[in-house]
Amino acid sequence: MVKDVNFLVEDLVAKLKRRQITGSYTIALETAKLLRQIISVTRWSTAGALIDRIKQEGCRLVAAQPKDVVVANIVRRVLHIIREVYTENRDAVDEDDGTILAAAPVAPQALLQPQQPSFSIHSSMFPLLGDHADLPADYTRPVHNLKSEIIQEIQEYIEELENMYSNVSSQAMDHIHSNEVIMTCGYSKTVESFLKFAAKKRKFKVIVAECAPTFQGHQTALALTAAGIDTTVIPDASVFAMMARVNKVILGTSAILANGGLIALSGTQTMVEAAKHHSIPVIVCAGLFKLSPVFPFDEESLSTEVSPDSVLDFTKGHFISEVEVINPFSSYVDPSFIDLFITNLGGHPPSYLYRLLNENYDAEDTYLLKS
Amino acid sequence: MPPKKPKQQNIEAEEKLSVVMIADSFDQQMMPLTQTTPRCLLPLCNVPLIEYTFELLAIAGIEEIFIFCCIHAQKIKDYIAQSKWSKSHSPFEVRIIVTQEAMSVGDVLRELDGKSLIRNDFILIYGDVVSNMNLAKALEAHKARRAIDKNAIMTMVVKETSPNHRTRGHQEAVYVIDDSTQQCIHYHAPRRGTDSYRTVPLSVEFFEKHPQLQLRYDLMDCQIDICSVEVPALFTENFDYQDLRRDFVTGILGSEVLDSTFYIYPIADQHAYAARVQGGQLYDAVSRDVMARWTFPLVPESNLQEGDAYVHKRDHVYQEPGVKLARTSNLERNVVIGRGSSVGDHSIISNSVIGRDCQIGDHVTIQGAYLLDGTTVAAHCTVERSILGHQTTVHSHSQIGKGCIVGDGVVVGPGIRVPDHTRLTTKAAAAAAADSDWNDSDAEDNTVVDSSRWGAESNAVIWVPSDEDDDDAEAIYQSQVNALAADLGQIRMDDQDIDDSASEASLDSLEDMDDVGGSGDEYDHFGSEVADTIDRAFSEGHAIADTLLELKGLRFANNKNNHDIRIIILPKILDQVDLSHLMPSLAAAFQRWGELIASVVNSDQDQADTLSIVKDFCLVDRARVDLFLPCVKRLYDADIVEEDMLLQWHQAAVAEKLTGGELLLHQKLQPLINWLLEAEEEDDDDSEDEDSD
Repeated sequence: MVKDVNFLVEDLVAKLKRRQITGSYTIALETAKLLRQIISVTRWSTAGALIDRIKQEGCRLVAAQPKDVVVANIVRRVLHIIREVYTENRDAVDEDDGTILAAAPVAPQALLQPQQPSFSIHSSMFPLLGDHADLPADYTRPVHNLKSEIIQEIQEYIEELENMYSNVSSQAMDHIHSNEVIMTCGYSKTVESFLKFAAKKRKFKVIVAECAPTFQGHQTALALTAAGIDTTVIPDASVFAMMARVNKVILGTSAILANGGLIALSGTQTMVEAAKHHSIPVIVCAGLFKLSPVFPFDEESLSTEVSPDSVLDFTKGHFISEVEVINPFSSYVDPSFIDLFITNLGGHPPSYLYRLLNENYDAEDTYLLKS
Repeated sequence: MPPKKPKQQNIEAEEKLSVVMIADSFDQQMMPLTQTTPRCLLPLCNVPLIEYTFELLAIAGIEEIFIFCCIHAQKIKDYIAQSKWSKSHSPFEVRIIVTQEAMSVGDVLRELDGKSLIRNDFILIYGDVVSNMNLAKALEAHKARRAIDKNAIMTMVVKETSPNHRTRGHQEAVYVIDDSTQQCIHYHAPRRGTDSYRTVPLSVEFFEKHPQLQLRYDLMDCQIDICSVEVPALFTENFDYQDLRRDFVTGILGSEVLDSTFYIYPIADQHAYAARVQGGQLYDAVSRDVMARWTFPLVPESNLQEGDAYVHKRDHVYQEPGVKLARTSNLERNVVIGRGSSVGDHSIISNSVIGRDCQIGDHVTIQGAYLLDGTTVAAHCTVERSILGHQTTVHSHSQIGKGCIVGDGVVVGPGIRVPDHTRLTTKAAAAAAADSDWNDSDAEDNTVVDSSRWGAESNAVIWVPSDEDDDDAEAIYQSQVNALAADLGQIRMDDQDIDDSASEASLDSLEDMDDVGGSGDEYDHFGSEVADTIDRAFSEGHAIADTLLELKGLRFANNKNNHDIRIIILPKILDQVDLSHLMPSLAAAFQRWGELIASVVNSDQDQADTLSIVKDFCLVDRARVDLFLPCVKRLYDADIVEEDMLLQWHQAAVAEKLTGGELLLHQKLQPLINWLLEAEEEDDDDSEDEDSD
């Protein structure tokens, strides 16, 4: 069974490395499903052991593609769920600890460890100590139905992921009004569904920057025109010129960092700069799973650069050995340019992200890879 | 991302997708580094080359790989055994087949045919190919073609480049392509120095079948081929084929019996990259391509090897954690530096790969160099466009010139300048190589000469190429050194000087390449092969027919004519003649080999040519003067040379003013000529008599 898990993890690691699965949503879903499987298949006795196991496997996944923060987010989220479930259930046990203690001699090893607060002796004192904050490292007590509860919670989380697009796009009516002109760039499935949802009732225009050399903008334009939205494709160089007639900029992103900065398709930065100049509001649509508790200390290592082939033809012989060609696929965007985040939980200003982080992740998981 | 489901269904519907990987280079291009490590395990950007190939195959969804190892088989086995590819989660099954005696691709494919391991189309690849292409698509294209054209036996993956592209290397093939079908009608890769080197002969028949043909010199051979099962069988049938391109493709396309067809698969549409590291120059070029991310996603920070942790920084600097950089050091651009390495103050590194645990001192300049793991470069050294092997040490104030390859464990310096294009190895390694070789005198000589040359603490000697069965190893060695030298330094410099228009530029550089490569080496290669064939025939007593077949094979493979064969075999056969027992041994030689000579002499010009060759042979040595007349007599008796031709040739020669040896030889010939003339007169008399009767 352990071998099976190992196989699954290695398989996902290989796929991430080879970029056989791309797109943050797919990666998130695959990771969450894998972690659910690890939890259900492996043997573990306590929540602590499980947390260690998930951390260990999570590290392997994260190391496969460190720039894809989504993998780490899912691992953190799952760890958070485990802790939450444990704490809730432990509290439930604590509330009527008398019966439990009488019913079963619960895990003598755990209770006899010297550094553990000895609950059985000071049982009357326990409610005072029972404040969660005082027991950060205590995940060793066996809890009834812990496994099924955790799996159920993760299942719910996976469903939340699956419903992410509809949850985000259902808010579209609040943000897009009739006869507005919306600008976007590149291709984002979230943005696409967001705009399509609004188009059901409202008429508006969309201007798409094509985002050379990937030309993802063309893909967006095709999808939107198919849904009957009035769409215009513009070259990237015209973004500033066109910005003056735009009401809103709606963007997708591949990750949101703790300070509200984005890791987004290259071309996003130019667009938000132009929007700032014209004081056009910038809205970023993204599932909550893209929110990462990591701060961008090293901005340059956040950008992903791909093969320069699409910028400069490889056949250009002696030319290519004399010229440095850089083809960034995604890059960092500063939070000061963004006015609103729309996640599956609702709209939040960048300054509110810290709350979401606290609700979704544990601080101790922020740095999974300790080098 | 390509849709995955249909691909898997395809695989299930058909048989296993197999790959035949050849993990041997069959050359000495990367010597002395490949003395201890096979080329496919040499690190490129700190990752063994074979990892790139495996990764390509893993992405393509290959299920089975046959790896053929020749030299260093155990090392490759050990490496694969400890790698992730032999673990349970490996996407494919790796089977290693050791063929110690194989000397060429042809041998490997014959072995493959002998073992009948393959029952389906397969991909033929080498263990040192770096590519991010979508092999699955190429396979699909091949299979689609097979459905239409049953004779399509091979699809060659090519990439469009400009003729003087750095990654192209020195491939000089011209492909004749039918553009509508991508069929390769003719493959023209003559050896240097032959008549056909500068011209591409096109048969009129080509145009009968194909209304439009393209002659393409801009295709880079990626050395990835999709072969059908017939390919190994064809190699067995043509037992003299060695090289996949020069012998096999040329031979089969030139064959009148077989209808087999070849196709090309250009990967430019995929925006993909593919190149094989065939030598020092390509090692440099591919390394730079990897650092410039042309091979994305196979870039250093993908950390192909387990345990690697490279991070991509600005200006394509790839750094692992645990690297110590002095505050004033400067990693300019395109640098890969591995864990545990340190760089001292004021050192400048650019366009280079530094392995793990390398110590680089203060004030060091490293440009375009490749330092394998554990290298130490002490203060005030300069290393330029060179490769330093594992655990080498360069003591302070030394300079390593362009194009050097320094073997594992070599110590150089202090205060030494290693000239450009030097290949150094350790005394121990040289001695070991010499032991396994039969001629150890050269190496010892070098040891004595070199001991102080490379510095007080040095253990270095110049690497001497081991010559297995080539008579003119010196020539080959020179050509190789020149090739690498040209590659790493010279040619590129020439290219940089070009500032004309693109077309002119490419022409210029082609001519440069000609000059650098010299014109005799490849010719000699053919010559040595023919000579070997003859020698074997002598020593092993081959039948005439067999020898003839082999010679024919060589001739077609190398695009030679009968003159090229004659000029080699005639002296060889005459060499057999014992001059002290001239007549009997000559008679024996002609009895045994006369037929062979006869079969390479057809036309009148051939006869004259044969006589000239014999004359030239006899001119070389005074002792051979006596050989001339009997030899010509034998040629006449054996009907190889006809009377008229002999007389014509003699008279033409005498008509010119002859000097010295030549005059002597023709004087020697005089009795025969006289006799022939008399006989002719008698004939005439007879006929006159007959007439008068």
